[in-house]
Amino acid sequence: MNEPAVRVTGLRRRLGDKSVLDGVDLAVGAGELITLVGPSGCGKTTLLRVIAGLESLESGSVHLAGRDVTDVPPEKRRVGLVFQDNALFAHLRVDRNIAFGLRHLPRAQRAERVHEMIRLVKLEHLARRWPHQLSGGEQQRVALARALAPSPDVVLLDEPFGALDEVLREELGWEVKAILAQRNTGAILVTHDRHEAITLGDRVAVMDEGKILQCAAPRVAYDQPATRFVADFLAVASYVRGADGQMQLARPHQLRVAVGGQHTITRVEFLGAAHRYTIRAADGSTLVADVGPDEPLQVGAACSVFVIER
Amino acid sequence: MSGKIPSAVAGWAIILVVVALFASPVIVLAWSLADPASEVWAQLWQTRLPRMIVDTAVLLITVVLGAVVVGTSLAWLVSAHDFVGRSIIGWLLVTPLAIPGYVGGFVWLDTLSTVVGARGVRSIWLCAAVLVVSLYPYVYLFARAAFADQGGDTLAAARSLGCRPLEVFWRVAIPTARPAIAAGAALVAMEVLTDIGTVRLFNVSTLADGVMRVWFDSGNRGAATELASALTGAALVLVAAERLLRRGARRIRRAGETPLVPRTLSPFRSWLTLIGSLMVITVAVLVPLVRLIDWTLEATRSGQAVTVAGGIGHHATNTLMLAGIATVVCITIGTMLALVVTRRGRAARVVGRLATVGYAMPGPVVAVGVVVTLAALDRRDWLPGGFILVGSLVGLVFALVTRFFAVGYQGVEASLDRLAPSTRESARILGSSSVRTAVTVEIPAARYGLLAATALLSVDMVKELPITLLLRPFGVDTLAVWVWQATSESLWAQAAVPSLLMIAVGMIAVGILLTALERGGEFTS
Repeated sequence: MNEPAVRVTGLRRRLGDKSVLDGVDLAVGAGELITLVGPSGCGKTTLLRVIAGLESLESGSVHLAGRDVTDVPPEKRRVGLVFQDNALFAHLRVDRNIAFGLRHLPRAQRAERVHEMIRLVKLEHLARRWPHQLSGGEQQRVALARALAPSPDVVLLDEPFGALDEVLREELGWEVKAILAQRNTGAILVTHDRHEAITLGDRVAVMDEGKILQCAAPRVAYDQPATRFVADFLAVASYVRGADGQMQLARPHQLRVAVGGQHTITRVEFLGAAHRYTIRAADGSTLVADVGPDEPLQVGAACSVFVIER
Repeated sequence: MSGKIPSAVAGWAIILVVVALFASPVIVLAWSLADPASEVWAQLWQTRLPRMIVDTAVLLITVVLGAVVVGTSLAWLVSAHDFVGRSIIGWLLVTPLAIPGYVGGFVWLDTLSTVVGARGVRSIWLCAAVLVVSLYPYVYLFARAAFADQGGDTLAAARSLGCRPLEVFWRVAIPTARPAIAAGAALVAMEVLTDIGTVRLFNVSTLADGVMRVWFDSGNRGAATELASALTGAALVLVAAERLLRRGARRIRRAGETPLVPRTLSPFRSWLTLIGSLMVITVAVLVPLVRLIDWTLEATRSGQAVTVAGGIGHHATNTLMLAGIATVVCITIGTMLALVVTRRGRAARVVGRLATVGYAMPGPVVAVGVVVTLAALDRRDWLPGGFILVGSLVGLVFALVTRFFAVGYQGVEASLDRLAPSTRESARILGSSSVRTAVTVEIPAARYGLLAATALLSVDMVKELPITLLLRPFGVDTLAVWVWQATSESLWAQAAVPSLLMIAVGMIAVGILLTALERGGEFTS
């Protein structure tokens, strides 16, 4: 079973004269979590819907666990879906929601699986509640349990934490990652939050205008972005001319600031453990540098900037 | 604050006056139920009552089931599928609302009697079929709103969890839409209990028909009152059933709701769906229209003079005037009550609901209740100049408004509820008085709800029959009354022109209704 959970090749889909998917290739390994980021309208949700079989294709193919499912309807694909709006069935209690996709199992096995899932997402005390009686985080955990219950080949999560507040979002993100790892289920998690993308993903895929620009381990994408768009999208980036005369990417922690020089500080932000300077360079470009928490320079101060290696 | 009436007192005063006004006919009728005339009941029981109960029950169950099946499946077809002509069909399927059941009834009665014979055609099943075709749009409209409300994600999740499209309908769409479908079904049921025109055509003796017959034929007002209270009993059972079915109406607050994306059908299925929907529209609208126009042309050719007293202009004017006045009164008082109630909180809401009790009562019941109430007032001789309410225009309008008040009130209330409280508070903080806020912020925000309610009310008022029949002042005849009189003597051709006029008014109103619902985001085509 070394087949990837998902392998899509050459996906193309147009909407009017706009390319929504423009030759997308992507593979998700078994048990791997790929985070998919990009600006809104870049095609990330469409890609999920194509993999789930909810939207049609002009060309390309979708393989799930080695099976060609390009022309298979969604109900036969063995894909788990989790949406931002949780999409729970309002007319069913928590346990019945989770049991929804288990009709093929004999009754006893079904009950056992539901139980297992409820334990997995730690909702034992809420099994007989109605979805509307749960908090947003609990609803999302039910949605995950429901998606995982039929043991799908892959779970697709479309901005699952988008509606939650920041603290809960981070906590639930780690929990979901742990649960997916525990079940050894491959997953694609769509998000517009770059922080979420680089912290949660085994690999992060950056999408723009229907294309995947780079799909790599977060650290690789962060340090060696394939394009300037990827560099800017994943984290704050400055560009400085290197010794070889080439423009070189520098993340905020790679810049050192000294008093006096040709650049001007235009903004000072207190980040807690550091201060972040926004600097107008002599050539008119903007640089962002993080410095220590000591008493910062003032807005308007003249400064110079050096690049250090990581 | 001194010297000024606190707004809470004024608010509650308005609520209580409106409630007292519109709940009193029903309360008065309930009073008479508490003191039943046993000899009347004994006689009714021995003669017609058993058959009335059976006919009412059979008709009610058949029509409600039929309308739910037809309305819900059509709503699902149009909401969740993409086929040739989908958006036009989506609209056309609402148009049967413009055709009163008794108009469709006499057209089909005549059309079918050439096929099954004049005797066989007068059956309860055909009557039920005619009513289903004319009443399913209530369920259709409610179900479409509910399906649109479910959003695409829930249905997509169901597909991914192993449901075929039809299973999605059964296992998710229907259960989730159940409260809305129940609400639509309740409206249909109430229309069946109210109907006197269609059942009379097909010789079905329901309780409503019984009230009218006893009132007019035997002139026994006591017996009619007793029957009306029996009908009230049936209506109360219905309201309870609806409450029960609506229980568990739950909505999860969703963050980023994705709209339902209709599934594209294969060309074959697409055409099949189109043909199926067109057949429903043909039976419900097209055949009645064609036949009515045919009758009209024939009458014109043969120079047949209109024999109903007063002429068509007189009837049309009366209809428009009456429907207009009643609608305006309904909307005005309804808006006022809704504005006050939304400010006064939960208790006010519960009390305010009492004013809508007339809508849960069949037309003949409201008519009898109003007559009994007004007659009691007339006997006291309170009004100046010996003015008699029974048989006056005031009495008739009062009865119509009592019956349909809920349509005006609830439509506006629902729209006002959608206005975020912070919007109203902002207006107040910016120095706008309560009245100015109502006029400049709340009413404009509720405009589509108001428009939809007005349109729906005008359709209801124009085709209304039992209340107008019982309470119209001498000489004030409406188009509906003309159709009633002509059809009770089987003069179909005579009924054609007024029917067409009613349908014309109805179609305009349905057009306005759909536009208002669409603009208000409650209906998408």
